[in-house]
Amino acid sequence: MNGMILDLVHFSVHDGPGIRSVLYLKGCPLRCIWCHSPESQFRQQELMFEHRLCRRCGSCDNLYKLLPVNGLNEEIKLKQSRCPTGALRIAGKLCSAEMIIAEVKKDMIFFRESGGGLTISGGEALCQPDFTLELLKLAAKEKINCCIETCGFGQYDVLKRFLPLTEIFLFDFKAADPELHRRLTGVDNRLILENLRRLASENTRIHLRCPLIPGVNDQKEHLLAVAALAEELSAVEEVHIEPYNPMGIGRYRQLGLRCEALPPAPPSEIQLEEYFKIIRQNTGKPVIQP
Amino acid sequence: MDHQAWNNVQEYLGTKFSDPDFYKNSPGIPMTEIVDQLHHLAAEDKFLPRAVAKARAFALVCSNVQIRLSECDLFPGLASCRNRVIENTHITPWHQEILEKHFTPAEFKIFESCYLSNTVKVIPDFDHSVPDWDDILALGFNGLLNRALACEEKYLAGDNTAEGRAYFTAIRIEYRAALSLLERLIAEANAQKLDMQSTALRNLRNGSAGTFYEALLQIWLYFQLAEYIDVFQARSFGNLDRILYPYYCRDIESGEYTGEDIRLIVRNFMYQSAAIRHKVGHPFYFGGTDADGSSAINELSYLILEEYDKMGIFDPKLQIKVSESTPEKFVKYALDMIRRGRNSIVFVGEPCIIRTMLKHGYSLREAQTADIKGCYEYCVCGETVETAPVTINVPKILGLALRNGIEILSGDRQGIETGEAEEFTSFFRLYRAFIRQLFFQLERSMEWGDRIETYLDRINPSPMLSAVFRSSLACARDGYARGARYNNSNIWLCATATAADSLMMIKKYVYEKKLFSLPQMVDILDRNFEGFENIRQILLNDPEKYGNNLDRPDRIATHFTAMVARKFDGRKNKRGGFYTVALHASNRFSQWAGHTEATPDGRRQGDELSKNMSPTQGNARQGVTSVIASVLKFDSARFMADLPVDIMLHPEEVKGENGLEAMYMLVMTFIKNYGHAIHFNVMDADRLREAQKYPEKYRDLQVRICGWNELWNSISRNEQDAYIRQADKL
Repeated sequence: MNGMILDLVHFSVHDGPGIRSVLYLKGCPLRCIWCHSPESQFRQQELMFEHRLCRRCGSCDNLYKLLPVNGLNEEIKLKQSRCPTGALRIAGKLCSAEMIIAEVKKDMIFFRESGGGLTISGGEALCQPDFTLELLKLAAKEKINCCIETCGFGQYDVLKRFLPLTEIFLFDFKAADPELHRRLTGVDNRLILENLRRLASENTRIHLRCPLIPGVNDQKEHLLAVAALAEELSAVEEVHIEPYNPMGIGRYRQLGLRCEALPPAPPSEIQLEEYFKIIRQNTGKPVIQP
Repeated sequence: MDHQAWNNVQEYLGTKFSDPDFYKNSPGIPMTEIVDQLHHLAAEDKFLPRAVAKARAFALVCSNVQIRLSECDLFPGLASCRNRVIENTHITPWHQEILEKHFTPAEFKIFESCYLSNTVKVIPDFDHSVPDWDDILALGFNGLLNRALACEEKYLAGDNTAEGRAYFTAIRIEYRAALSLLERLIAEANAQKLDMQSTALRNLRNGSAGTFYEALLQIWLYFQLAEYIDVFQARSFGNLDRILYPYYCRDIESGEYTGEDIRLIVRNFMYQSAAIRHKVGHPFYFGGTDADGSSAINELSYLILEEYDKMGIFDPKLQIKVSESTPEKFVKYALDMIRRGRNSIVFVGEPCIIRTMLKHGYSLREAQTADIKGCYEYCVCGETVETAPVTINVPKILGLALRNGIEILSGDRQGIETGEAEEFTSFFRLYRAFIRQLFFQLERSMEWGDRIETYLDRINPSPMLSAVFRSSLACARDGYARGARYNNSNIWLCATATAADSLMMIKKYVYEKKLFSLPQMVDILDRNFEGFENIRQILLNDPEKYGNNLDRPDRIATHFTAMVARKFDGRKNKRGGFYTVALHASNRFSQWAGHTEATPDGRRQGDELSKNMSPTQGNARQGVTSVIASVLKFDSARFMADLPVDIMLHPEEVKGENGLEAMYMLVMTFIKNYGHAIHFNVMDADRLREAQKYPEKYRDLQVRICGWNELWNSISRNEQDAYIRQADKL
């Protein structure tokens, strides 16, 4: 079975326990305005152009000038393949679950030593449920433990299928207020919260992941809601603070897209301290920055 | 102890080895005058046995070298430090004599051509042995001399030769000269009323070290005499935490010194080494395994590491022997230092050392107690004189295969005829030619090396070193002339990854994709890619390179190196030992770059070569686990001389508790799977760019080069760019 992926990254230490390989799927139902990998949003392949690598050699027939490109046909792919420096690249490729697991297996010695494994991220696993399930099954066969990072927006039945094969769910919680959530991500948070609560009621482990963007979703009300959620759900083991990362701005440019005005910098040390303080004061669960 | 304000001490030590006027008013005569006297002496002693002539030169320096002591410096200053004057006056001419005598003019021409073009270097090497520090501390100069005298008496009572008699005479002269130097130092200490230094020096003059300070002082003095006057590198200060621990315990218990005193002494000692600014650093190592299998890490290990951490220095360079029994706390402390930029630390795997040494016939205890020396090499403690006479530039050997034995930059025939490029109708044929060239160069270099090594004791007899080896005393032979119990010689294969990548690119683009023919590729290389930048970019950016845990390039790398190891590892040398193979570059990866022509992996002439068994800078695209996995494909037991890997990590990858835990897991995975040596740079490309732009803000930024550190601001722009390129890929 094939799936559309962005990349398989070896050696991640902040996406679950131990040393992990992280598979980034392509395609996501949300459109978070702060997204630091916008190329993960659409399922289809996209063209990206990194201008600092370009030698203006003309091998691509100046293809980069056509960005953004909707849909990649064979002619575009051919021109892209002529780029000698990798300035022009295609985001997204079809890969079989078997191939991915074969690649992940290469790090078994590190998984064994560290208690690590595979984390399926994205993009969004719920957008490719059959592919994700296949990956989980193959990983289990190889005794590779799996984590799933999810925004939680999808059918609960799908999440439930993942359950027995998933060690930890890294579950995103982005905004407490439904209307704000819609403005920031394109959808409201009711289904997400419902899925989170249902998941938490099963025998599972959850790490609550909270991206915080200065001036966007770091209001006190949201921070208190994070703490309240962690307290409410015994399945939530930890709260992870994910400070905003501005690298998405550059990625939008590489796709030839505009992005909303976002802070150019991550939260300051003082802002971070404040986030931790508020959340820690209101929950007994560990609050960490992975 | 009087604790001087540390800043004053640092300031004093900062000038000790760099200020040309430091010894201006000191007792003794300037080095320039000593050099003149040495020249006269060399002429005078022309017909003396070499060992005796060397010893007399040694004694001349000891009698006259300017000395300086100070209340804020626990370790005496000798003007000979950083001035290996006997090398110029005696050793170099003796070396030249051996070359002229034992190489025909035609042979010498090729020898020199290979040397100058950085294809192959064959040298007399005196820089990779470790004396028996346990005996040096137990006996001191006086005890070592007395032991030698007793051995001499026994020797003279039986069959003896002129050479043997000269051997003992030389030891007598040198050790008596060392004791006379101590007398001079004592007199100076007394004159300045430096009671602590005077007492310690007197105790060393009359016997052996009794306190922690005296032990370090003994080590310091021996090191100064060996390295700078007797001209051989005592290539490690030894297993300092183990050998000093008994002194530490006794002194603390007796009240001789407090914990703070010990810290001051340690700081003062280490800062001496830092202030010398030796190009490739001077090491000591921690840890090891006791006979009962427990770790040798002790309280003193932590103390020394803490003091090192506080100072932010990068010399001495630290080596940590790691096994499953090494306390996690200690390893993690070192790793935390590394991610904070204090990264002059390498982790050396005990499982690898034990397995490899057992395979080569050593005993388990010898393997467990092996010394770590140099950058990360290992040998039997206190019984080994090891050399590194042969270094091969593997990419240039591929160049010889591509050009039918002709070295492109000089036009000289340095290799054998293995066929013109157009004759290689398949990759296999080219690869076979490459192997033939490689084996030919190795056979010839080892033969040259044997010729030189037969006469190492004629080039640079080493009485100071020989007297610390019991086996040398027993047979009355110099340490470099089969005097030690173990006498191995290393073959260093340099830039292996560059060669493997080049072969991979030829396979792919010439024989599979048929983008161009082999002669066309050779032509492009001959032009240094001039006019072919697109092709160069294709080759350079192709991800199928060694170090990414990919089958094909990794198999090439492991295959030809294993062929070399199978053929040459264990071959007897001329000193009663055998050859071992190293996948180690030292500084050749940058030093040899200018003389290494463009290579098929997209590298231009002048661009850095790969170092150690690491992927070429910028080619590691699949993360650190892939790099380590690639290195672990080599059978480390075949490469006893060494097989190190250099890792670069991004600060984000190793931040927080998770990051530290991950670093620890990387090290332990590597070690448990018989990895040899691993060390780290933790770098952020943006920060490095800023450091290039504003060097004044980054004066103390260190970078791990190969097996030592340098300041970022002291490395060339090219080298800086290489690190930035690699950091960009993280």
